[in-house]
Amino acid sequence: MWDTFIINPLINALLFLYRLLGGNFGLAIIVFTIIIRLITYPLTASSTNSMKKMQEVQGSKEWKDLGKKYAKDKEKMQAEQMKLLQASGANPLGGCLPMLIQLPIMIGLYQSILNVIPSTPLQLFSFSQRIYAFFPVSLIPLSKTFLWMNLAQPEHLTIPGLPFPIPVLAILVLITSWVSQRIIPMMTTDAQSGQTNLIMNVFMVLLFTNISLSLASGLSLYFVTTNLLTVVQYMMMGRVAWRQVYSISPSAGSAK
Amino acid sequence: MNSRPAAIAVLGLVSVMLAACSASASNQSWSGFALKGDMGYLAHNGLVSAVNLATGQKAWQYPDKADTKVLFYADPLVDSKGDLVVAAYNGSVFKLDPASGALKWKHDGDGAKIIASLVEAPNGDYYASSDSGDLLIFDSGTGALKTKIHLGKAIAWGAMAVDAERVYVATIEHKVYAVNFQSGKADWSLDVGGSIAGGITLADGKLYMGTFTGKVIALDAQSGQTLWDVKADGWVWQAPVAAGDSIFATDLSGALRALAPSDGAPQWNQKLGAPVQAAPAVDGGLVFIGTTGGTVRAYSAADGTQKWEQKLEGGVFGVLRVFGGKLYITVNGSKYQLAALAPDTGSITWTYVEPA
Repeated sequence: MWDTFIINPLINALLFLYRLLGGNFGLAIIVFTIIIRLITYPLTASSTNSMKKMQEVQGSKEWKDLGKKYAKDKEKMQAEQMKLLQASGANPLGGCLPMLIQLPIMIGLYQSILNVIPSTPLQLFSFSQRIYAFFPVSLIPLSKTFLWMNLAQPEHLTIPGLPFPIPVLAILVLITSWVSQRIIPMMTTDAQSGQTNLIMNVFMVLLFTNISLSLASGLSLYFVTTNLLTVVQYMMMGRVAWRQVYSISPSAGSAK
Repeated sequence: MNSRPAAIAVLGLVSVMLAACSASASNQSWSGFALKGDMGYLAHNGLVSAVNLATGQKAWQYPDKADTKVLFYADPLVDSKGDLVVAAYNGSVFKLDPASGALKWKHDGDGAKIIASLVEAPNGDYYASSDSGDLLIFDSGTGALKTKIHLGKAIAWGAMAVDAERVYVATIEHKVYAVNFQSGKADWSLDVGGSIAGGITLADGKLYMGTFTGKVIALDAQSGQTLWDVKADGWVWQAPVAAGDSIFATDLSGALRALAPSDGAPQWNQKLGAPVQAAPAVDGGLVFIGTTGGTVRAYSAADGTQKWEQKLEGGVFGVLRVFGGKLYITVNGSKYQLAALAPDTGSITWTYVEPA
C-alpha cells in the first residue's frame, strides 16, 4: 500500500516534472517541493494560527490565574487549562502537525530519489516496475547531474587549490535548517522552554546536516528548498522571530 | 502544553532510520554463476562459492569471511586455461584456483563499478566493462591493468560478446560498440534508441540484443548495420538466446517469444504472468525460463507447448543454464540461492544455501 499510494505516485510525479523541465532532475526536485508546500499550505497556516492562539492564551491573565489556583493539583490545573485552550480555539497538537506531515513526504521522497536514480541492476528493475505508462522509456537513463552535483551521491565540491572537497549542500542545509527553525516564534515565554527549544533546534540542525553528508544530495536539495520556503512562508505571515536566529542563548523570543 | 519536542523526536528518529537505511540500500544483487567440470561457481554478495554439481554441497568459498564492501554481481569467467576470474562491484578483480579457491592474484578497483562478466580476448587478456565508460584490459598472468579504452559516457551492465576480431559492448546509454582488439578503437558504434541492460548475444555473425524501449534487435557484427528489429510487449532486459532455428527473447511484461533469426518473424510466444528478467536456457528441444515471481516453466522449442512448471522460493534473475543433465537456476531469495532441477520434469534435485 505504501508503494502504491505514496512511493509510486511520488516517483511518477518527479518523472513528469523531469520530463517537463527538460530532463533536469534537480529542478524537478525543487519544483516538486514547491508544489508540495503549496498543497500543504492550508494545513501549515492553520497550524501556525493555532500556535499563535496557544501563545496568546498561555500568556493571558486567565491562564496564569489557573496556574495559581490549582498549583497543588496539577491534574485539575491541566484539565482547566485544556478547557481554556479549547474555548479559545487553540489546538495543543497543532504545532507539531507541519512536522508530522513532512514525515511521509520526506521518507517517500528519499525512497523515490533512490528509485529514480538506480545505482544497481536490482534497483533499476524495481524502478521499471513503478513507472506509469505515460513516461517515455527512451529517456532512460535519467540524468542525475544538477550543477556540480551527482544527485544520487552525497555532494562535495572540489575547488582547485583546496586539499579537501567542500560539502556545499550540507553547509546550506545547516544554515537554512537553523534559520527556518529559529524564526518560528516560541509558544511560551519561560526560560526553561526556551532552553528546551534551543536544544531541539541544535539537535535537528545537526541531524539534518549529518543526513546531508551521508545520503543522496537530491534529498539535501529537498531540505534546502523546504527550509527556504518555510522562511518565506513565515515572512509573508508576518511572524518571524529574527532575534532567535541570531541568538543562541535560551532566552525567549517572540514574533517581530 | 507543548507537543513540539515529541514531534521533533519522532522526526529525528525517522531521519536516523533513513541514514541507516542508506547504508544497506546498495547491498542488493542477484547472483552470478558459471559452470566447469563438476563444479558450479556462485558469486553472490560478498562471497564466491564453489558448489559440487552432483551433491549441491559447498566445496570451498572465497574469502573465508564475506566482505560487505566487495559485492559480486557478475558471472565468474572460467578462462581458456580453466582458471576462475571474478569481478566485484567495486571494480576489484580476483583470479582464483577453481579447485581450491586459493587466490592467485587480486587487482584492486579504482572506483569504476563492474557488473558484467569479464571476457577473454584471443591474446589471453581479460576485458571488463564498467560504469565509468571505460573498457578495462587486464593482464591475465598478473592482474595488472594494461590499459583502458574510453568509450564515452557509457554504463555497461550486460554481458559482452567476443569473436576473433572484436569485443562487443552494449550500454545503458543506448549504444553498442564494436571495439577492435588490434587497434583498441571502435570499428563502429550504433545508437539503438533504448537502454541495453542485459548485454549482447553473438551467433552466426549476428548480434542480438533487447532494449528498454521494447525492441529485439539484430545487427550485422561486421558492419553494425541493423538487420531487423521487432517490437516486444515490455522492457527487454536480457540478451536473446540463439539456439537451433530460433532466437528466444523475454521481456518484463512476462512474454517469452521465439523469432526467426533471419528476419525476426514470430514463431510462437507465451505469457508467463509475471515479469521475466532472465534469459532462457535451451537444451534437448526444450526452452527453460523463470519469472521474477519464482515460477519456472519448460516449453517445447518447436511450438511453445508448455511441458512443466515448478515454483521456486525466490525470483529468477540472470541466466538459466543446462549442464551435465541438470538445469541450474540462480534464485534471488533468502531460502536458497541456487537450485538444480531435472530438465525433463522440473523436479528440484537440490538447492544450495550460501554460508551466512
